[in-house]
Amino acid sequence: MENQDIKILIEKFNSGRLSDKEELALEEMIATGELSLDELHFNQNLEAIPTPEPGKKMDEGFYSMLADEKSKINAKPTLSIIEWWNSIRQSQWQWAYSFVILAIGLIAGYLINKPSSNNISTLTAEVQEMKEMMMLSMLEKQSTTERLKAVSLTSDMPDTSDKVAAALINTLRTDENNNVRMAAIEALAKYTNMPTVRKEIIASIQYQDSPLVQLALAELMVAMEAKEAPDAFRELWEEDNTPKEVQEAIKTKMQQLI
Amino acid sequence: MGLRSFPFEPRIKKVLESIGDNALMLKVKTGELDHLGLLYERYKRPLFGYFYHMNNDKMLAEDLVQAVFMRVIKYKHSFRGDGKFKTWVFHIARNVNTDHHKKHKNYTDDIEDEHNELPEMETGIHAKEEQLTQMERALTMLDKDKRELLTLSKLKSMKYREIGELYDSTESAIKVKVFRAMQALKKQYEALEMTE
Repeated sequence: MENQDIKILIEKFNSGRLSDKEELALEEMIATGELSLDELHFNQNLEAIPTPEPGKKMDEGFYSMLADEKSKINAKPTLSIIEWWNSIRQSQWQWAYSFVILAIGLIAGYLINKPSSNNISTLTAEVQEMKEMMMLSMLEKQSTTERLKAVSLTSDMPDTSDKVAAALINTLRTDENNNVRMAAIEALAKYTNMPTVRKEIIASIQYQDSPLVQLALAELMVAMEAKEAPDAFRELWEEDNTPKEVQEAIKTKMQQLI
Repeated sequence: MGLRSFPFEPRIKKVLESIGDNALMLKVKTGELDHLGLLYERYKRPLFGYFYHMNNDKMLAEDLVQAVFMRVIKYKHSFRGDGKFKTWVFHIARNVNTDHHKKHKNYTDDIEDEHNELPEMETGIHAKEEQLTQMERALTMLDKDKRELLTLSKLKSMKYREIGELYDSTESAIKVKVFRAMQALKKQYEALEMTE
């Protein structure tokens, strides 16, 4: 079809005067690529129809589901040594083949990745940040199980982070469940070389009314060699109903610090 | 801290953007599920938009996005990496949408009901907004196939070639179908105008 004829057809389409036969001709040209859909004026600016933003719940649901899936993978039983040995014996050729493939993979991987080691380290950093994000989100949940999971996620984090430490301190001070607080104490153990965190853990003693949490904290104080801890406990007991037996047990532990 | 406000440093963001979807999905396939978070962040809005415009229901759209990623994990072994992740994930999304409505057997009824639930425009509101609401209404009145094509091509900015891969069809055939869907929308829109 001549350019002029195409123009006429487009004009007719745009002004809504196209016959059925001409509409078929137009379809034909679209199919053959003679005419781009962008050249037709539809009046309907579909792109302008607004799409609402998904809610925060969708993110929380996803990251919670991801954490569940990850824990399922981690919980899968491993083969016993005997089963492993038997499986090797049964499939020696497969192992030989796998070994060759692995060797090729390692060499290829090394050659490919060598120039972009920055990307890998950045990716690792990003994975760490994703975990942090997931953990922080889960800590805000109603469910105790979810909050326990959140605290346990920190054990997978190779690097310490101010954000995570702050969240754990907050959990230790304010979480309504003692088990979550105990898990936070355990998780905070690897942050005790950070002076601010150390100070905050000691300060958190005054927020604990559970004997169990106090005992766990006393253990940590000994491990941290926190000389200020006995005073902190004494201050707490002035306005607290901690059973005498527990106080005595903690005092005994504190002897190690004096 | 809100998840969506999570501030990636620009430098990190740039590097992450350069890592392809397929490379990430292949990591997920080997069990490194953390990488799925990045794919989720990339595709949550397009998928949400697809489900929202297909069903006109925000809560349902959020649930179906989650269902998509559950299937991504379940069927990760079937991702070969020779096609685009985008096509693969939208293929799952179409199945999730179809399965949801098969399960509830109420697709047509739901959509018809929702025509009436779309907000009526108050007098005095800008004419352009009124036009958009009318068009949204016209879109929901189209049959499922046409609505899906227009949602994918116009609202979710998929290329005709990509839709062709999704539908296992040719690019030119998709263009013709989009043309027909646009024509149908135009007629529906005009019909609504007449009844107002």
